Amino acid sequence: MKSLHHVRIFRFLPVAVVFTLSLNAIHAQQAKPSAPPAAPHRSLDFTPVKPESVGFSSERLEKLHKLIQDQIDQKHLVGAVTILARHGKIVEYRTYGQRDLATSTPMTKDTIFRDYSMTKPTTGVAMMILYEQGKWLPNDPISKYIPEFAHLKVQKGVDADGKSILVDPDHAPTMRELLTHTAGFSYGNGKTPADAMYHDLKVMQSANLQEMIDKLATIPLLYQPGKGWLYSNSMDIQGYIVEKLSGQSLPDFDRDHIYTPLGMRDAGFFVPADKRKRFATNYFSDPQGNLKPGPTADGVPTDYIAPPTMASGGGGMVSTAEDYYRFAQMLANNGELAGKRVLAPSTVKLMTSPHVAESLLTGEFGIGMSIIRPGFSWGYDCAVVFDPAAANMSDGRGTFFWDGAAGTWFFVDPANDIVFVSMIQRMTSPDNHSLMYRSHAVIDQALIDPSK
Amino acid sequence: MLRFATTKPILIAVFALALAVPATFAQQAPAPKAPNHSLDMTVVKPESVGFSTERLKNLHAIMQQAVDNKQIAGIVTLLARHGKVVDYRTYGQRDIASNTPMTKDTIFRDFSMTKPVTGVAMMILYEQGKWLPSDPISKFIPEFAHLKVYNGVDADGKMILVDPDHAPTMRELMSHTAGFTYGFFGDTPVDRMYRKISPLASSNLQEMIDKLATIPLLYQPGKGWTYSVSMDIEGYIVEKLSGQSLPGFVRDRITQPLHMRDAGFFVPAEKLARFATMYRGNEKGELVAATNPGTVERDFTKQPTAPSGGGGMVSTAEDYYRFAQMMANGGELDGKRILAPSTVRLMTSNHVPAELLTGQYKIGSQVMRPGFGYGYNCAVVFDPPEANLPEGKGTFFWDGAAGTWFWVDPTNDVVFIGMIQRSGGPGQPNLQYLSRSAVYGALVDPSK
Repeated sequence: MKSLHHVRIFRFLPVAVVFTLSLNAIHAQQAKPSAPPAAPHRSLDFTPVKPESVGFSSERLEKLHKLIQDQIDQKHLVGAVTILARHGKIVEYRTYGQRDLATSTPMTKDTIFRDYSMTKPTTGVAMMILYEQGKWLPNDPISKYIPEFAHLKVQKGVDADGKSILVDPDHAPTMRELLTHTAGFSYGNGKTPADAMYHDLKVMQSANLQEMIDKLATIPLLYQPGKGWLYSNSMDIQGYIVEKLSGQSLPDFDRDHIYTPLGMRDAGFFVPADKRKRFATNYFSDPQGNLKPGPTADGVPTDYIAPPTMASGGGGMVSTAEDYYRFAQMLANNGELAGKRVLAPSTVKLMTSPHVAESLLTGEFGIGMSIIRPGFSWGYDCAVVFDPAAANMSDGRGTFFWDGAAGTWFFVDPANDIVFVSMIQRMTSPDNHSLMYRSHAVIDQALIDPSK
Repeated sequence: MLRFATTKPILIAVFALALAVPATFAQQAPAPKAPNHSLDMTVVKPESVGFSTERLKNLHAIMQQAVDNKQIAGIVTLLARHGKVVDYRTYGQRDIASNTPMTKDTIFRDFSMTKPVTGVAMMILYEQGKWLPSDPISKFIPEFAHLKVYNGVDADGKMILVDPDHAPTMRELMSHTAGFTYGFFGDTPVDRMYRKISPLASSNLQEMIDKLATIPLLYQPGKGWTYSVSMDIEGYIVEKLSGQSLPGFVRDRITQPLHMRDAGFFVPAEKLARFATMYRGNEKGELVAATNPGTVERDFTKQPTAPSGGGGMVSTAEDYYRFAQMMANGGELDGKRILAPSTVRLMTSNHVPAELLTGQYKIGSQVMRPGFGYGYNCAVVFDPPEANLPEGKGTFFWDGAAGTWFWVDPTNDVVFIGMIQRSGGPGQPNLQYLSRSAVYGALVDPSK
């Protein structure tokens, strides 16, 4: 009887419809395809929703809490603020531990953190705002905007006396290469003469960005443009370009075009007097994980007391967790948040697509545990996992993210519509990247019903 | 996993669900478009088709700045989405010396923007079964049956010639991979032969073919990409297969049905007052009036005896918009069908092998690279983020030596036409790509 009824139903339903029905079922288990038409989030509501209502398991999310709390209990972490959202709704927003051990100040949601390299994606957005204004194109040579770089040479190797062997670049490094750490710049952390010049000339401790550019103009590129990937001060160079093309300082440009429209109230390049009591203490970890408070990292504003004379597009920002969440949710929303548009959808897509040549995705280039490899590339100012399975990650296709030297990290998973921000302040820890990547695994495993 | 129920209400529910499901798929494949039965040039509110009026100002600023900086004399731009005109503007002047403002009915030299039109002419003949992509070119041009391939020079500086590994095909002709060239991009003996023999300076197309038959191919067919006289060769094939002149065929089959009123291969006397002045940049980047760029002097006041399928047309912005919108509509405009949808798709798909998309082959700002290839007579961006571009997947386009440009984005259903008349020289802004940044930066709601 049942089988007869089956036949009868199939005769009613056209084949195409049956096909789409079955496809939809398959589809529900896969990640969502490219940008769904997002209803603009007209007001940002920070009331957490029940995790199950957006496909998470409350019980499985406990693993995330344990992951962080264990580190605090072992005294390898002082405190944290985390925000997890899906479909633009807050799933959880928590504080852990303390903001300052010496005074036993508890961690609070309004604590201000040093973002360090988490500044890079915001500088990327600043650059894309200028891209939308037709101010630059990816294939332009960098020297079109920085003529000081027109005569840069490439350090091909080192001769018997230990001096650089210099050759001409095969092509002038491009803006695309600048945005993807493939132009040939560096931070100077290697052992070649060109690396030594970064330190000897105190590039990152310049009095202002023009001085930084003038110094960089005397240092050879570390490799032929486009032929390597090396974590670098490229985003500081972009900060200079933002200033040059906009006529505003980088902090002012970011304030007017990013922080203010997005309501990022405490984001900036310094912590004014009236906010300093909310400023987290920064801790340094020894190789065993023991912490002690310390000064800030080499090169980036040393005290954040006043607006910097050299604003660092690569690492100078401070913000709360919520500030950065707003920024990340804007990207997850294809460029808009609570009715304020910062970028068009196609611009977000361009920025967060992989832009490093596949021939470089070999596993030999990277920083810490962020190794570019099959499926794991770099877009404009952010890492991009375009093939998570190939990259051994459980995130959705197209997940983009970055982190900072004090251990803060965030990710946006556009396929599963997840945003996660975690703010800590732990420098030189052997465990920062491990914690970050384990959090991806732990959050992904808590998403038991992606179709919700 | 899906259990089909037998009761009627559930059947209806299942059927309703089935009808609802395709909506989620609308984002994955282009939605079936209703043919535009009337072309309405009334400008609609940008927001009604997903653009932001405020952000479109970036586009205007870019164009106006080029004029204010005296880099471009005048511009006409036309932006449409879903077959509706969103923005249609003029900037600057058609002629500086006489202070004549730019107007919407200004006639421009299309130059290589002729190539996609010639491509459509070829596809019309393809639909008639007159040729196949895999046919050797020599099937239609027996004069080419004995073409050799240049393979370097010997110790005495003479060309080494070898046989082609295979006879160059129609597909290779249509995608600049057959081995032809223009002769001004390099300095090989082949290039020098092009410059000396000047195939494009022929009194008719047969003479052009006879000249080309004496010049070796620059590389093995299919093993390189070089911008070339291929579309002029196609113009000859159109004439041979149709029995009509190229201008006659294009008029009867393309420009007349599409009401491209001022499009053609010359500017008749009564329209000359609307013909834009040609400019170029001198060594200081200042605009000076110029005659034709390139090596061939061209008299635009009469029908040419050797009409150029690679660069001989003139048109207004609106004429070319009609052509481009027809392509965006899958081959039809205003009830007049020029090509079938599958033919448009064949023509505007990438036909260059991936191993050639390395960045080494280019012309001007068009660089064949990952994600950016070439179809039949047009470039195709089949992976825009890979190619550093903001437009939608499958966008096809071309440009011309006087700086005119257009694109059709079948994913976002956007058409853009930009007409200027400046043939190079220092300081020419890259309006073609800057306009893309601004247009897509203004497309804030693609779902509309």
